[in-house]
Amino acid sequence: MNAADSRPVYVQLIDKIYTMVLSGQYPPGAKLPTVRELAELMQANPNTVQRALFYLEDRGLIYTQRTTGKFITDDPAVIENAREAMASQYTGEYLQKMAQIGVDAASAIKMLNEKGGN
Amino acid sequence: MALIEYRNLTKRYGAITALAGIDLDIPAGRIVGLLGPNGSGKTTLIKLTAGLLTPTAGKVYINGREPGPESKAEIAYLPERSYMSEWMSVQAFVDYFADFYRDFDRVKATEMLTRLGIDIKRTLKTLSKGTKEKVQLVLVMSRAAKAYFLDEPIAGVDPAARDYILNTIIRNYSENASVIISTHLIYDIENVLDDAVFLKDGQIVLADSADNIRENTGKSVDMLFREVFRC
Repeated sequence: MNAADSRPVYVQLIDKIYTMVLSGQYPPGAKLPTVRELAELMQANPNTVQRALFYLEDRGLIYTQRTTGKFITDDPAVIENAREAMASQYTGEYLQKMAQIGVDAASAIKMLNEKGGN
Repeated sequence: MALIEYRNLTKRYGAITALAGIDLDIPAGRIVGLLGPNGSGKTTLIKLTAGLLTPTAGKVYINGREPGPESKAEIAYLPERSYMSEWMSVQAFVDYFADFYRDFDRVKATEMLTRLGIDIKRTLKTLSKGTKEKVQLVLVMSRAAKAYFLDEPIAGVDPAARDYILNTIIRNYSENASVIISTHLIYDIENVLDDAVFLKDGQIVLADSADNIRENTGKSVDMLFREVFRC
């Protein structure tokens, strides 16, 4: 986690776990490490990790199996929704940054197309 | 009842007021940063809690009791300055802890020292500063205490040692105990904190959860600290 990022740490953790799922690091159905292991892995507070996991569980990205731990959902719709939400957020951030440096949306899209090789 | 309670806690050294009426509750299961520049009263607060100093006025309660033999058995304290004798071997130091503290888990300590690759036959004077810090932390964290007070555990150690120290704190986290870390190196530890307490000239200027601080101010704890304590 990045202390220079001024967003609450649990928000950063949520983003990070989404990214790990969407990148396939934790594929659908995969077992998540324990809270303590995740805390160590991300060098974050265990209570904060717990808070992020509650949020993700509420959103259906992960589920708890009473005795065996927490797992990534194997519902492709949930994962696709998450992908769309994150992609939309990044796109918004891109356009916002471009606007900040005086590039309007049309030009920004044109530049994206060029980068994408179209 | 909070695990640790401070009520109007005041400590004067002659004309100097080190702590001026501290009121604070620390519940169990929290990792708390006691944050302030040098001379803000961090060490005095810790020593009062550990029963090494007596207050000029006000009270400290640990599990509802004032500092005494029972509270000393419940508090694990890592002092800022080493209290280890340089001629002692790591092994002798482990034995010393095992003799002194009923709640000391020798197996856990030995495992952690082994994982660190420390030869327990070595005397302390042959260890680097970072390694000494790690050894002391391992011993303190191998106690099953109610509250761990770590006074400047990461000052002057390299980033790898710092990561080890933070991971050791996380790994030993228990919801029944609290860890209080005093430091002025906030950037390095703030993601590990539940709560931040800012001390300035012996007074609390802010006590809140790290996430609240970020949410309410839009600043990291480190950024806010720099603002509050700008010289």
